[in-house]
Amino acid sequence: MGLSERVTGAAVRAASVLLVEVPGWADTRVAVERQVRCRGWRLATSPADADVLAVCGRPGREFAQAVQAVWMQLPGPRARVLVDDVRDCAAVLEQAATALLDTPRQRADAGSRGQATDLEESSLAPAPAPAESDGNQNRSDHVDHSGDMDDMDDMDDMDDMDDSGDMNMDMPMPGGVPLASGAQDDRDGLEMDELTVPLGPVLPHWPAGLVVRCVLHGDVVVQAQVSTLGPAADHAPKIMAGTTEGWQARRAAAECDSAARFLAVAGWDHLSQRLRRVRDGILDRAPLEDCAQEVAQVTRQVRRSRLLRWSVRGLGVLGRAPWPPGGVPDDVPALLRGDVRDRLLTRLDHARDLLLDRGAGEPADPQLERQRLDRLPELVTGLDLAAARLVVASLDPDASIVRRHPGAGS
Amino acid sequence: MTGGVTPLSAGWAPVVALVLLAGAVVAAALDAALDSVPAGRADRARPGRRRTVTAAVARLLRQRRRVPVAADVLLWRIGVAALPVAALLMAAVLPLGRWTLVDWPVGVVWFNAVDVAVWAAVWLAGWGPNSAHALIGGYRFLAQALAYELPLMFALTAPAVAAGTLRIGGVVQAQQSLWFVVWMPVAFLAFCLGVAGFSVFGPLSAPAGSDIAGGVLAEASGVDRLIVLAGRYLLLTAGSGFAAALFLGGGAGPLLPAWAWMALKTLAVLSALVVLRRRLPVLRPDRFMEVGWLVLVPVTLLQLLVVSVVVVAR
Amino acid sequence: MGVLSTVAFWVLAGVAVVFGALVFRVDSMARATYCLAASFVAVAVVLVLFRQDYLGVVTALMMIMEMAIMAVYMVMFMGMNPALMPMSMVHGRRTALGLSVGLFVVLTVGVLLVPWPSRRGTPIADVTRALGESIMGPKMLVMLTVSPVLFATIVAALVLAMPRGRYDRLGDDLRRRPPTDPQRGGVGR
Repeated sequence: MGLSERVTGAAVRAASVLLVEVPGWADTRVAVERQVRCRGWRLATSPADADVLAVCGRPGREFAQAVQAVWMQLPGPRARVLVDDVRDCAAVLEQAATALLDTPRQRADAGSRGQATDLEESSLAPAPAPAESDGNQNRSDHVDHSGDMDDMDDMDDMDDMDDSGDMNMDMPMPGGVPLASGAQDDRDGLEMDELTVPLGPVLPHWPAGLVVRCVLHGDVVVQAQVSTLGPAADHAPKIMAGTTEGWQARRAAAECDSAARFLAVAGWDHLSQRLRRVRDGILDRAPLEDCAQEVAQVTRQVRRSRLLRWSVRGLGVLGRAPWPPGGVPDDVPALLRGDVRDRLLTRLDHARDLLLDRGAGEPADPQLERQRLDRLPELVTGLDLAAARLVVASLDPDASIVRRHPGAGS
Repeated sequence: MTGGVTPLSAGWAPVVALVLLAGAVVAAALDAALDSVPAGRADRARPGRRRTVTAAVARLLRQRRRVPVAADVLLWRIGVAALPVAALLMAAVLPLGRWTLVDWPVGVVWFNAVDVAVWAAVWLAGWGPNSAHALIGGYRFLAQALAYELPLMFALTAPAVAAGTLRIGGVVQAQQSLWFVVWMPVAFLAFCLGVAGFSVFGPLSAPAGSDIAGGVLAEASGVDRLIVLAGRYLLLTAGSGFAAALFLGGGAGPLLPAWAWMALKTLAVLSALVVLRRRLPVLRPDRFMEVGWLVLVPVTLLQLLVVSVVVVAR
Repeated sequence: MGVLSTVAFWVLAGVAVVFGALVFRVDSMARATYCLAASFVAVAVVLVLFRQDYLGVVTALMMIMEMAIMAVYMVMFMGMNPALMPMSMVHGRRTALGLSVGLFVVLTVGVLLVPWPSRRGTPIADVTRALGESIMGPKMLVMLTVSPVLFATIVAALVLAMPRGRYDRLGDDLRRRPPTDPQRGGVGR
């Protein structure tokens, strides 16, 4: 075996995968995550870090455009796969690995990207609907003019042309990217420029399909607007939760997943991994008592960590934390009460209760999910980006439920 | 008088670089190995395949470099390349047992100057790619650096004052009877925190946090990413080496030769930093800043006062 | 000085001047900032060449740090991505040019006209210690006065520049706990 084949083989053994979850395909995403771990691959933190773009579920038109923009930012060698079914994911990842190993094809892909014309590159028009196969994009990149300001930015340009009121078109636009423009009242009394950065839908540890359009002063969010992106209209996910048996365990797994994502955003990767594996255990039908015990251990570790408490204390407070002692009840549901850490602990306790079949609550509560979404903008406004990410992760609205019940809540 | 260490000729520089690189590879391998240790009982059933450092390096070598739109490529590349260079410049004055590349009379200040140069490097690596997330990462680093740098400077001053010299070899020799860590533990801890800080590692890795899509790493791909990641581990290794030299007596120890003790102590500090990373969440920069100025600066100053009083009284 | 040092000196001097001039030629804030840093680092190396190791290294340290802090000010006053915007680094062109040329001429004339003493004897081994003693020994009173004054100046400037004072944070009677801050700090205030 030649050296270059050896390098290629080793490189593909360490591939990293950027996951995109379409609301409703959480099961698929979880399955892909596990498969990624089994293969010794890892999850990417940004498009530049990724070799494989794995889209879980069929995204709708707007979502697909966002995914396309991200795809153009993968440096290459790259492979793009669509995982529609939980059972497919091993095969699909194998397919991705084969595509990555195929050096001539990757070279052709790279060559075709280099030839993109300037005209097309600097246009901010929406990309054509993507074909879900790898390696046949002829647009863009090595110096990628439409793509790369930031994965979030070009999505803004692409899926939301009517929202560009705050871009001052008279200003110079080097590389076709609008400059930050002057802002009025800054939180800290500085004269900051405004930058519109949409967070999502493709970000690590981010709720599926969520887009928070932020106006930033430096890294302080001064305005936030929430929307969700959904699956293709003709391709709704099979509704699993609530109808099938054992929804408690599934719900508990989802809660663990959500808590794991919060811990990842808080930068505690180790505990996050551990919780993810508990989640996998639950889905593998490990003895529920063991899982509950494991969750309890993690909960204890979280509760005892002074550092975490110090780090996130007082962020995103809803209602009075954690239970009002005989005070006037407000309209904050028990699961959302308190600051981000309280919500994390509530979530973990809820997961344990569900596992021990002390499960209060329902499989999916559209009212609650709607509240999570609706309370988001006011909570993140005025926070810096790190804090805002923590708040979003602590609320973690499930866009699939919200979209399925558009009338729920306010 | 060279303070017990023999300067090597410039021809040894590649060897020193290789030694430093070996340390960095050990740290990265340990980090990767700890990642695949089963976490909890539920996990034991399915051990994932191990990710090796070699494979990760091969991947980054095969990956293409990507340049975002309107990036300041020159500054970006300078920032990226400066990280491993800074680590090498630190290692140049580090006594490796009985030898050192440069036995400079102002070694301690040199170390400090190079770690400040990392400020520029990380900030440029964040600024260059012209991406909001990378830039936020760069600024997070500066905010954090403002909080850890003064404690780090005072922590560096303590051994220098105790030894009465800025020569690293001299500081090592002054610890023949008693390691400095014993009577300046606060300075040692502040120093280790500073090492984590300039290596963008562990609890101080917010500038490369996954909440901002990798921050200063967000846009780096291929060789660029490899250099930044390697630079972080190299800095961590060089920093651990200095912790060993300044606080743990350098090459002092029974039985084994000096270089072996130095290597052991460096690896001990390095492993402690890598292992500890798993136990702690990331410190949020805005909260850490206040702690840096209102707690760490006074505490390290007090430590320095204690050391100075002891030195004068002795 | 040996031939090598002489060559190094002139090269470094050239680098310092070229980067200094580049500060006004480049069209981005970041580049201007780091050109200035590079210029200072070249001067620092010249100091090392003069065997003033401590002064040289400290100059490099302070200047790189200062430029990094300048980057903080850059975001405070310029916003997020002025790197994109090509902008002139020159203001008040004519006055500035006149002043700087004038100053350059005065300094150069000074350099050329001052009767520099020639070296008598040899420098002692530990220049750093000698430097410290000559600054800290007889001039200790000056140092003791200058540092508090400098520090007070910095604090006063910050207090004047802060848009929010303690009455905003702690209320009119200074009793509000915790103070109203946009975001809480790390030591429980």
